[in-house]
Amino acid sequence: MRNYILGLFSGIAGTLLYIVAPALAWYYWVMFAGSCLLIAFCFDVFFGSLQEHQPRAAWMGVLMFGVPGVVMQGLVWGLGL
Amino acid sequence: MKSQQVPLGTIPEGFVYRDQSKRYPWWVKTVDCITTETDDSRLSKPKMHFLMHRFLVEGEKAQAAIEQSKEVVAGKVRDKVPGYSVRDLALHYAANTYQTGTIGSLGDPAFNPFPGLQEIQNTWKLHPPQSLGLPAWEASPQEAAETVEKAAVQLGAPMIGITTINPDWLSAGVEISPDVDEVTVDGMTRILPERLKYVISVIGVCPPDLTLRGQTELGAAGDRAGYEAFGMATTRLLRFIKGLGYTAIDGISFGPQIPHAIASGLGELGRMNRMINPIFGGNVRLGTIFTDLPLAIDKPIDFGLQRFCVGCKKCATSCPPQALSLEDHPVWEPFNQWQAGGKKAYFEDNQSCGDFQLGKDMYCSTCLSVCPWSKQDKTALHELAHIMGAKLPFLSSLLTKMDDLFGYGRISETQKLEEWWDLENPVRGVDSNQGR
Repeated sequence: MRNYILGLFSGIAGTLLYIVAPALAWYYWVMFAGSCLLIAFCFDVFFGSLQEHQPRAAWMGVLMFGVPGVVMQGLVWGLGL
Repeated sequence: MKSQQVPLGTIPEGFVYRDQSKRYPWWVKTVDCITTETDDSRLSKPKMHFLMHRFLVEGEKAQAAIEQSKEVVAGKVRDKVPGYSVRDLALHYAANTYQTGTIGSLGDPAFNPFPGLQEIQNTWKLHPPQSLGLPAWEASPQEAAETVEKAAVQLGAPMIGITTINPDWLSAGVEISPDVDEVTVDGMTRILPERLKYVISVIGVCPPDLTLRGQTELGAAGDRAGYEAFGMATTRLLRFIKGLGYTAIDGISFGPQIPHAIASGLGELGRMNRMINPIFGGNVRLGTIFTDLPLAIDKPIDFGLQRFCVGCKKCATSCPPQALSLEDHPVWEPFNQWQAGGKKAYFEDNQSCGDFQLGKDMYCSTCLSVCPWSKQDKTALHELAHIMGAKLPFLSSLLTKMDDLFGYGRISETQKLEEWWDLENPVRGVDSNQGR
């Protein structure tokens, strides 16, 4: 279910980005796709590690994958528009 | 020196291989030779396992240590040492209930404190088809192998491997002969009938949340759970094969379990001088069955472990008595007289390992639980790490640093130790669907 919701949000964000900035440079789209993957991976690591009873690994996942993912999203929406 | 084909020498004629394509994920390669280098000219067999020596030859010393351990444990409970509460102790002793194959064993004649009990286990309410006037079950080797694996999973073994018996991998004093029809004892020699040429290696998995709490009674409960798991599955599988109308015997007392398990593709030999399985890592204990049921055999595997262990060393640096080798490469010479020669390995100081545990009433398991391969599969991060470990094993020291950074390792903090009682765990603490 988590993956479906993440996919849905990514799809909505991508559609919104296309509507707002249809002429966006290709490298912003690459950054957007990369950041979506990082954020999805961050969720996977976070919840998976908690299931494995490894809280430190969960928060390291947020730090190593979630933070760069969010920063990249910020760059796309901040600089690309 | 080239690795020799498995079984040592050549594959005897008349054996067929099982379809290996669905056995493991794509990053585990099937190979024709075990990845451990072997050399027939260096082959040597210890007269007995050092634990047997300790209990049979130095019995009084060992018994005194066991008696002493009661005081040690009681003292730790009184001092409220984490991992040594009364309920932790109770869990350890309960997890040890149906253990076979080690001290206090039901499966090993040399240690069997209840003569006859194993016989009851193996025959009670068992009716081979011949006893009902029916013929033995017959199938092709492939179908028989698939049937045995299906039954094994149902009977409690998450994974099995099948190979052929190798006389070089049996203990000193064990021989194979075409002239006997059942296991025969001749003085100090035990003779196996030649027809029991198929070996089924059975995996028992230790619950990782317990073994990570190693060096405590909770860790001991996890370690014993692994032994109990393979022991119960092995006994059940023995009964299943007998129920098909064939002979099957528990191989645990006839030699070390690891060589046949590696030959049957259950794993590779790692730095801890134990087998590492690509799915459950080092968190496994092994049982062995010898049978005359014709089976298709499995091939050995290679998932990059030989290169990985060179750079990792996490088991060795985590070992409390520093009993594991920190050498950069495996060596031919065994560490002491209790180890078999003929293979290139990271030989451990098994006496230091045993001494560390003796008299403390606990089982350590630190090496097997901290191995980076001993991960659960709830996050894709581990799958990615496994792929990198298998395909880019030269990055092992980097992967191990990441492993440390993410906080994987032995759990020793007071609060986290006792948190185990609040965790949600699967039955027996192991997700048997892991890797499937």
